[in-house]
Amino acid sequence: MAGEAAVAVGLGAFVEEYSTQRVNELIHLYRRLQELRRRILQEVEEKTGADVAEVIPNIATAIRRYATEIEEVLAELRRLGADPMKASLESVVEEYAEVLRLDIPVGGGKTLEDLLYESRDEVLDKLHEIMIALYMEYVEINETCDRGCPPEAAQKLEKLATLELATYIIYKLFQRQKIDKKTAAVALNDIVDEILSG
Amino acid sequence: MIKFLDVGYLINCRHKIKRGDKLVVTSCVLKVIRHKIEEGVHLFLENFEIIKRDFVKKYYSIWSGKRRWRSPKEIAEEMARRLELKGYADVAFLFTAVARYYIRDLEEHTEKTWLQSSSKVTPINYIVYLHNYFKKQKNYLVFPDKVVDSIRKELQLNNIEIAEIDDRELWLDLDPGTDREDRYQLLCIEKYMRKNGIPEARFLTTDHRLPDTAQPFENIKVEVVDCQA
Repeated sequence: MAGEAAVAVGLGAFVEEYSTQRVNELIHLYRRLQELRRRILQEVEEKTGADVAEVIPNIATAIRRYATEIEEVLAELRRLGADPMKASLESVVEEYAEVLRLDIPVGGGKTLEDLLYESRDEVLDKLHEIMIALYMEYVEINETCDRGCPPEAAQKLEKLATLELATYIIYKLFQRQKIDKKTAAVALNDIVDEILSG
Repeated sequence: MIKFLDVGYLINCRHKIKRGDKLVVTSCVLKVIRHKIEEGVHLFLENFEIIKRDFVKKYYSIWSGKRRWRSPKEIAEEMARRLELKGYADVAFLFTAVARYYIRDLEEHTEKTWLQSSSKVTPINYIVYLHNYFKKQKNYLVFPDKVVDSIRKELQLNNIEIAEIDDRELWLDLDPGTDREDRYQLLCIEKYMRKNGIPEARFLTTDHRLPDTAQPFENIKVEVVDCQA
């Protein structure tokens, strides 16, 4: 029986514990990045109020303020052998591909796809356009960055990252009724143009 | 017998070459196609919200889930049909070209973006994608040339001759009118025939009004073809 007990706890012990430990270390760091992102979003949203023209400058300021903390996390990720840029890019392509299947339930037995066909919601349409525009760009950059990102691709990613944050803030400002539907739709349309402008 | 192909034939029909026929497309036809694609893309971008709402959403909302999903070519074909019926002829022309030809850059981009895991896509994603594709880095400026390049390649593969016509005065000398493009194509054919000593030729078209326009050109016999038949 002792033999069976040893097998039960010991078989695969090394490989499982080793990989779990590594995954946990990485997850902890990615959670830290997520936490910093949420703080940035909250700060920018509060600071912007109803002035959508200030969203992007406020994002830049907030990122500068948190740069040291973000860098510390990135350094730790690199120390563990991860490539944060490559990992972010690979996961963002997967996440967008998943969301653009449009099968997320939105209640009442409907999916996001049903909502897109049935509603005449300008803001939802613009968010969908942004998702596709970002997905198109990420797919392309992911291919370019297969063996290391050239400087222009890294620069483009930085711009897209800012525009993603801006999209979320504009959407939140609209949800909290700090801006009206028309203002939100115009601001989101400008973001589509900016994403696709090169 | 030498047979010339018109814009409508080229964009709607598959080329079936019979023994003894020599098929020719003049560069004027390709110029007209280029111009129409340019116009189609412009109008598609300008009327995008209407097209998305009144054509894509309205038509595809009757299905649900994966039953909506189609191949990009099928979506383009259906869009062309619906746009034509509602009087958006130029945008319909653009969609017909997308459905009919392998436009290399667009096809490769679509494949990379949507078709890695499935050969089908939901129409709303595809239409928004097309809109973004044209806008991306001002792709709309080069797309008409990409279409013409793709058509040229297919013609070469099918051994259809492309006759380069010096048309400098031909277009400018034409009086304006709805059949200006047709008269231009006919004048180009006439010029080619004169230069090469060809006494008589046929002109294949899908346009039922073309025989009237071609009446003054006695040595060009118009043959109206129904490609869907």
